[in-house]
Amino acid sequence: MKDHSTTEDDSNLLVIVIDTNPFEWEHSSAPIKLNDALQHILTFMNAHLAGRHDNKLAVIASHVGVSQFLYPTLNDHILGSTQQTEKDANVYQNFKVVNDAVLSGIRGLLEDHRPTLEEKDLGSSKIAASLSLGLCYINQALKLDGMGHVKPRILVLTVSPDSSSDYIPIMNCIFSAQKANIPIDVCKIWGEDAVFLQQAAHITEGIYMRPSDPAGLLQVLMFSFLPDMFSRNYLYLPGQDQVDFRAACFCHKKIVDIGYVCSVCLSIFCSFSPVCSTCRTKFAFQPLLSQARRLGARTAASNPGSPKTSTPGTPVGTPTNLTSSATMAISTPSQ
Amino acid sequence: MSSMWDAGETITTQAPTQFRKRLGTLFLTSKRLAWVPQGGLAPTVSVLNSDIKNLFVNAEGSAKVMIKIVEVKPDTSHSFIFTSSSALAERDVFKDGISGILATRQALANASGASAGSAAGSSPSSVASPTMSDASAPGTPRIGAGSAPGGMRRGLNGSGPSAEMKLRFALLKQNKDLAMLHKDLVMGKHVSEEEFWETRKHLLRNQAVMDHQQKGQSSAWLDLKPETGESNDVKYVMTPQVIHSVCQQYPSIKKAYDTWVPGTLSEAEFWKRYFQSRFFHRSRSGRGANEPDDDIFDQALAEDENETRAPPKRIKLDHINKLVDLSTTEEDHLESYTSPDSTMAAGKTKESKEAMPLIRRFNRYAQRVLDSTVGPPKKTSAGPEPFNMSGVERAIVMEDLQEQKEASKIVLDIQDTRRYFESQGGDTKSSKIAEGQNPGDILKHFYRDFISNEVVLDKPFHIPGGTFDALMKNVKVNRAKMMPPQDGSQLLPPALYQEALSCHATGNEILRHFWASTGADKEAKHARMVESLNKIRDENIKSLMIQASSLGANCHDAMKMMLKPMQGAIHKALKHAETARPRPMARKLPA
Ligand SMILES: [Zn+2]
Ligand SMILES: [Zn+2]
Repeated sequence: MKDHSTTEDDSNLLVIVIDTNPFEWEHSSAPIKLNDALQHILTFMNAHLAGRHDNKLAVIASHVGVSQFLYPTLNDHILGSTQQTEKDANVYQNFKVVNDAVLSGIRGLLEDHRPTLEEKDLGSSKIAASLSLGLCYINQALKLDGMGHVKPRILVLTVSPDSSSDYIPIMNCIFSAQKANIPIDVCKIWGEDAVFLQQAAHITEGIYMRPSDPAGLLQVLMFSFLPDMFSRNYLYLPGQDQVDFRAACFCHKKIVDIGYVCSVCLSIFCSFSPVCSTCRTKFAFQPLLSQARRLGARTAASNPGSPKTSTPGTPVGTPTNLTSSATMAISTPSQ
Repeated sequence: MSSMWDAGETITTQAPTQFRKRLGTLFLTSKRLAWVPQGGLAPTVSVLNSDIKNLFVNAEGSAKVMIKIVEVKPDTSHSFIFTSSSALAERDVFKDGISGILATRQALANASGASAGSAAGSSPSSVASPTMSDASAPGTPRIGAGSAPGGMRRGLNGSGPSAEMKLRFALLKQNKDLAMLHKDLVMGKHVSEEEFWETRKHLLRNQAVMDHQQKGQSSAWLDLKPETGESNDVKYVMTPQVIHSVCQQYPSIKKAYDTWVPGTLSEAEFWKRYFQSRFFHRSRSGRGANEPDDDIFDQALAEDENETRAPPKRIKLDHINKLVDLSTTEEDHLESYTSPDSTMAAGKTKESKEAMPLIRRFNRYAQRVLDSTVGPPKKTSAGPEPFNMSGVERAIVMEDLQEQKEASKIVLDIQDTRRYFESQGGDTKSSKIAEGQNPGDILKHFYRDFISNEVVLDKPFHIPGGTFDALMKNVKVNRAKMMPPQDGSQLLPPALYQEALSCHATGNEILRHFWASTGADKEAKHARMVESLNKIRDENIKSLMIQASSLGANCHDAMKMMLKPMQGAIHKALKHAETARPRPMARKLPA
C-alpha cells in the first residue's frame, strides 16, 4: 500500500479542523478545558511548521452554527505583515503569527454570545461545513501549486457527538476527499466514537484515534498525526480500522439481516411498505416474499406471481439481501 | 436386494413407477438408471449414466406424470410413469439428478474436448482441472443442440428451453470455479439445478448476449495464398467464405460468376480460369502480360479498371431544399477565394495516378463490407422538399445539434436526512444542554472562562504515563496485521486448503439460498437448506478438522481459523431456523 506519488521533498499542507463547540467544552463532564487543549494543539501546529521550511498550515474552527478560518485569515491576505502583533524575542515569528491568529480567532468566535442556533440541531458542531472549507482551501492550494509538490491532509480534532442532520453533507465531503486522495485524520478527544468521522478516516485511508486520556493529547497528536504522507509509507502508526458497517432499519433502528431497500433513496426497512417513508416514493407492486402480504401491506388482487413487471419510469424496489447482512449471514474466509 | 447392484454403487433415489404397463421401481444410482419390476430380482431396464442422452418430462397437470429417457443408442428410449401419490415430487428428484449428470458430463466434455459420452460422471474429479484451451472442436456433439423435436421441450423444468441449457453448459465450461461449485452443490444434492442457476441469471443473460452477438464480416483485404504441393503444383482452396470475399472485392467477378455459372461453366472450371487469368495475376503481383487471353475475365478486368479509374459518382443532391442549396446560386459568387478540391481527382499528378485507383478500390470495398453489415445508407427523403419554411427548417436542422430531451426522472425528495444517521446505529444525540439551562448563558460563561485563563504555551506538559503505552500497544496490533499471515494458505497442504476453500464456497451458496427462502411459501426449500447446512457442519467441516488435526496443532489451528466464520454463519442460520419455525413470521408483526 505504498503511495509512490509522495517524496521526501513534498511540502505538506495540513488543514486542522478544531471543534470549538462550547456546549461540549463547557459541559461538566468535559475532562479537559479548551485552554489546556489549545496548548497541546498549538504546540502540535508549531511542530508541523518546524518539520520543513515549506510546510503549510490552515486552521478552521468548527463552532456551533458557524464555521470559519482561524488561519490564514482574510486579513492576512489583504494586510500582509501589517497585521502582525508585537514581536516576542523568545518565540519564532512564524509560530507566533499562527498562535496569535488561532487564539484571537477563537476569542472572536466566543465573543458572539448568540451564534445562530438552528432549532433542529441545537448545539451541534459544524463539522461538515468545516470539511467543505478545508477541501476548498486544499483545492485552491493544489491549483496554485501546479507542480504536484503540495501534499494535503486534513486533521479533525473533535469533541462533539455526530450531528444527525449532518449525515449527507459529511458523506459528500468524505467522498470528495476520497476522490481527491486527501486523507482525513480524526482525533475524537473524548466521549463516544464519532461514527461518521470514523467512516471518513476509514474511507479516505486516514487515521482515527480516540485517546485513552485527553490529558496526553500532545503525545497522541505528535505520535499519530505528525508524520507526513511520505513517512507514512514506512511507519507503523496507531489508529483503529474497525468500522461498524452493519445496517439498521430506518423504522425501528434494529440491525437487520434481511431488509427492503428503497431503490430511490436507499432507505432500509425491515418490512415491505408500499410507500417509502423517507422519500415518499410509491411502489406499484407486491414484494416476492409472502410475509409482507401477511403483514397486510396491501392485499390487492394483483397476481403475486408476477410482481416484477413495472412500467419504465416507476421505481423498482426489490427485496434485497443487504450487503451488510453478508457480513453476518455470509462470512468471508479469514485469511 | 443389494446383490443386484455393483460394488460401490449407491442408490441416489428411487420411486414406484409403471413401465410398459408393469409396476415396478425406478432407481437412480451412482452409475445408472435402472428399473426393477415388482417382485423382480434384477433390473430389466438398465441405462448407464454415460448412455443417457436426454430426458423429457410431460407438462405438469397432465393426467400421467411421465419421464422419458433417451439413450445415446439411436432410437432407444424408455418412458416411466410415476405412480405414487407424490409422483410429481419424485419425478422432480429424478429430473434434477439426471439433468445434473448431463450437465456435468457436458461440462467435462466441453472442457476436455473429448466427445460426450466417453467422459461420464464416473470421473468427476477431473472437473477440477479442465484445460481451458478452447478445444470445443466443431465435431463435439452437443447434447440436444437444436435437435429437440418440435413442440416438445427439453426436460429440466418444462419451461427451460434447450437454449438456456446450452448457456449453462457454456458457462460451466468457461468458469472453472463455477464448475467446481456446481459439482459440489448440485451433485452433492444441496441445491437443485434450477436453484443453482436462479441466483446466476445475470451470468446466463451475459452469456446469451455474447452468444447472440453476430460477428460481422471481416473487413480485411483478402489475400489468396496458394498451398504449394509436393510436386510443385499450386493449389488454391476456395471456401464459401473466400468466394464471398472475392465477390465482395470485385463486383465484376461476381457479375461474371452470376452470368456464366453454372450454365456455361462449372464452378470449379470458373475458378480455375480465374486463377489463370490476367485479372487474378494483375491484382496479385502486377504481372499479367504472360497470361493467356480469356474473354470472360478480360472483360471483368476491363470493367474493374473502369470502375476504379472513374471518379466516384457525385452524391445526388436533389433532395436538398432549393432554398438552402448554395450551389443553385453559384454563379452569383464567381469571385471566390476558394477552389475545388482536386487532391482526390485521378490523373492530375503522378502520385495520384498510381494511388487513386487503389484508394478507391479500398474505399469501395470498405463501403460494401459496411453495407453488407448494416445495410445500405438510408435515403433521407423520397422527393424534393416543398418550397416553404417548414421544409427549410427540416433541411437546416441537424439532429445532432438538438438539445437532448431529459428523460423524466424521479426527484429525490428526502423528508428527513437524519434518518440516515440513525440507521448507522446512532441515536439522535446532539450536544447535551441541561434542562432549563439557557444556551446563551453557557456561551457567556464559556467566553469568560476562556479569556480569564490565557493559553500559556511555555508551561510544562503533564502527559499521563499510560498514554505512550496505549499508543505502542495500538501500533503493535497494527503491525501484526501487516505481517504476512500465518494462516491456512501457508500452513495447510494445498489440496486441503483448496478443499477448505471449496467447502466455504459451498457453504456460502447454501447460506444464500437459506436466507432467500425464509418466506412462508418456500418452506420446503428452507427445510432442505437447513438439512444441507447441518450436513456441511456435521460432515464437511468435521472431516476437514480431522484431516487438519492429523497434520499437527498448527494446521489444526489454521483450519479452525479458516472455518470459524463459516461455522458462526451456519450457527446463526440454524438458530434462526429454530426460532422461526413454529409460526414463521408471527413475531415480526409490528407492535
Ligand atoms: Zn424496522
Ligand atoms: Zn425512498
